Amino acid sequence: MNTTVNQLIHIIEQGGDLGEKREAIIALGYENDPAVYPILIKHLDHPSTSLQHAAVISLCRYGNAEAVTELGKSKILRSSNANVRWAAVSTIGNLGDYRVIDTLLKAVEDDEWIVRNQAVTALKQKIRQIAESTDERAFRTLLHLLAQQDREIIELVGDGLLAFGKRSVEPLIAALKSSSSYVRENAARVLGLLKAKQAAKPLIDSLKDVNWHVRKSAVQALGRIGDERAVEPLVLCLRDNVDDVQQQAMKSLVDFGCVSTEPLLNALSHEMSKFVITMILLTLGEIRDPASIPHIVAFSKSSYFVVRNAAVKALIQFGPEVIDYLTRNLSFNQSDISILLRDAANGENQQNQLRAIHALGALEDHRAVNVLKKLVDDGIPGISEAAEKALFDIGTAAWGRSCSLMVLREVGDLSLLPCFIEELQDDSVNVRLEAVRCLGKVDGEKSIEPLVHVARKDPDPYIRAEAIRTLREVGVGYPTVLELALDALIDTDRNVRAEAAGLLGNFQDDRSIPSLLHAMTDSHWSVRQSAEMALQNFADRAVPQLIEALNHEAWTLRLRAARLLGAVGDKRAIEPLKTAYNKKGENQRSLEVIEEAILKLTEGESEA
Amino acid sequence: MVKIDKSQAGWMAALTWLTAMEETARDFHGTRPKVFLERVYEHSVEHYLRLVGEEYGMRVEKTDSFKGAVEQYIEIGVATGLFPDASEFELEEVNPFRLNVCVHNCEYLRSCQSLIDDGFAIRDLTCARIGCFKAAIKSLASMDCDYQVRSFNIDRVCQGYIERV
Repeated sequence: MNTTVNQLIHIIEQGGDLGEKREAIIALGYENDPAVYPILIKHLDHPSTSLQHAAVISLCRYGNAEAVTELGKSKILRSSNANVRWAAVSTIGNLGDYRVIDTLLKAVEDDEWIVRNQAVTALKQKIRQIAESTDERAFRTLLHLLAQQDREIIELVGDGLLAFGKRSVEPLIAALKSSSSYVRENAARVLGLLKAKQAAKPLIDSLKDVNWHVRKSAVQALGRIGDERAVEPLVLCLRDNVDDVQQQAMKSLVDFGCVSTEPLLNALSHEMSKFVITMILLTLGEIRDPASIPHIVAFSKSSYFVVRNAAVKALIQFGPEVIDYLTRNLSFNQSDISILLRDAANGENQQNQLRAIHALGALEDHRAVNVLKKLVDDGIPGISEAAEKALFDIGTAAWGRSCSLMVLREVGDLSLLPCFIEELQDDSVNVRLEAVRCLGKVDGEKSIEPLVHVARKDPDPYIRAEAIRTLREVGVGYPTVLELALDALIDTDRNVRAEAAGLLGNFQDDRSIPSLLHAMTDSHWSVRQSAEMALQNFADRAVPQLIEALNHEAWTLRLRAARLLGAVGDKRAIEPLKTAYNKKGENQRSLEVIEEAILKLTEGESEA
Repeated sequence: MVKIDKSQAGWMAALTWLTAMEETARDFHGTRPKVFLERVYEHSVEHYLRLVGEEYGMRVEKTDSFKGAVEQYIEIGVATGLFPDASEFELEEVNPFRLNVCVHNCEYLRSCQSLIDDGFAIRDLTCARIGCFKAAIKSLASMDCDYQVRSFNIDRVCQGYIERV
């Protein structure tokens, strides 16, 4: 025993306070002397956690792997002191071989994150070491680790098993039948990472697992393996009631590419659930096989909103390729249907009547709506149902046109302008709405006049308001738009008026100031507010009129004029505001606003 | 088989019905289901207020203000477990006919979020919460009004307004 060790042991056993002892224990770790090890092991039992901690650190430096057994005992790994546990886990990781994995796994569940973190770090290190060896026992340890939940560990296990190559496939396939869902899930994941073709069949069986995590993992693995036998079972997974599994099935099918198209279209032809149809459509959109376009377009006429929406999203994925299909979808029957209408209304020959009703439905001709509605109301058995069906076809055809426009808005260009303009005449409000939005998107000079026309003439106020809203983005600077905005301030609908005020605010044409001032007396708050905000854009150009408005009979106008004068900050307004403030009988709320405006305008003066 | 707590099951059922109702409205009215849903909210509030009176003996007072009606509806909602806490809502009376509403941690956030994800504009959101407040004003203050969502899910807070028509 060398002198230094002797001295240190003396301090530890005979003298000094706790601090000195701790320092001595730490120092012992640097000494390569056989006498050190028993001393350090002995101090693992010391009642002071500070000395225990020091002993653990020194054992790590000393480097005797036998210490792992002692360190793995409850007295250390369940010590009340997190520093002791953390140091122990670190030392076990440094000194032990793959056999310490079980000990580290226990530490992964420690209450303190610092201990857990250290345990995970150590585990990763061990797994890397195993992956680099070809030891059979180590391989079994890796399989055992499949029961873990930590994704990072599982990824490492996967890498480890990957290093063992084909040898690991059979045990992993067997693990797919484990009673633990974690093992089944992770075995499937690793088989996917290994791209093990022979696992395709067992993985297909796992698609029926009771646990959705396992199903999802199997779906993902099958996508990675790429065995075409999996395509149809994966299509069935789109019917899973768990969104995660559906989403993963979608991704896997997309990985297969055009091979998936036919099974997907087959499923689409008889599927009734809107959620499944939605998933199939979205998958087809991601795959982008042109063969599926007409089928997807057909679903844009669905009576289910989510299905229509999915069809739109899917079609957008194809880009300009879909334009021809969709413009065809937009064209509607313009031929003479008077004979069909006559036959449909004529109940003398029921066969002819039914044929005419079916034909009107097939033509999706909205001109037949009134005749068909009457037939439904008449309630003649057979005829009434046929008329109802025809009305349904006509109604859903409008959804088709509306959805086509939604797609064209995203993928089309200026060349589609005539098509959009034509749709402004559609009977359906929804189609007209989308046509207006399309015109806003193409942003060309030629779209201005049609939008102005809609904003003036459309019978639906929502469409008029939408047209003006669109013009706020694309129509500023055009004289016809300014005229429209001024006229629209007296529209019967308040939303139209509010949008018109906003549009005038964007224009900032001084000719609109009197109209906006008048709009501040509108019966609706939102119009008044919109007009006030618009006038704020004019800054000091509106000041003379605003000063004049302080004497207006409507108190809401006086209030807003005062507020605007305060916001604009033009000193010319100080005196008129003071006069308004002293006016007898002024509304209390107006007085408060006037006072506030005066304060704002005179703030600088008082400071000066 | 997983067992679901009774109160949770009740919420699940309510949310499912509401989602179904909103989706049906969109099936038939596309991106403009508001008129239909406003009527749904109106029926819902009327039935709810009747139910709490008939089944639980709660007295529902009429009021003559926008804010008063919404406050009373919230009070009833908290008492009956419809809302966990009145602090989930902030009401600001801009004027007697305009009320700004702030909703924190809305139960229906997910349903609106999916619509936003589908490309809906904020102004197209029908908001069951503010929609029901609007219906409560009609029922308790006998005033017809309109409402709109102004901002959505900024730190789980949504804002909207209710305005007299």
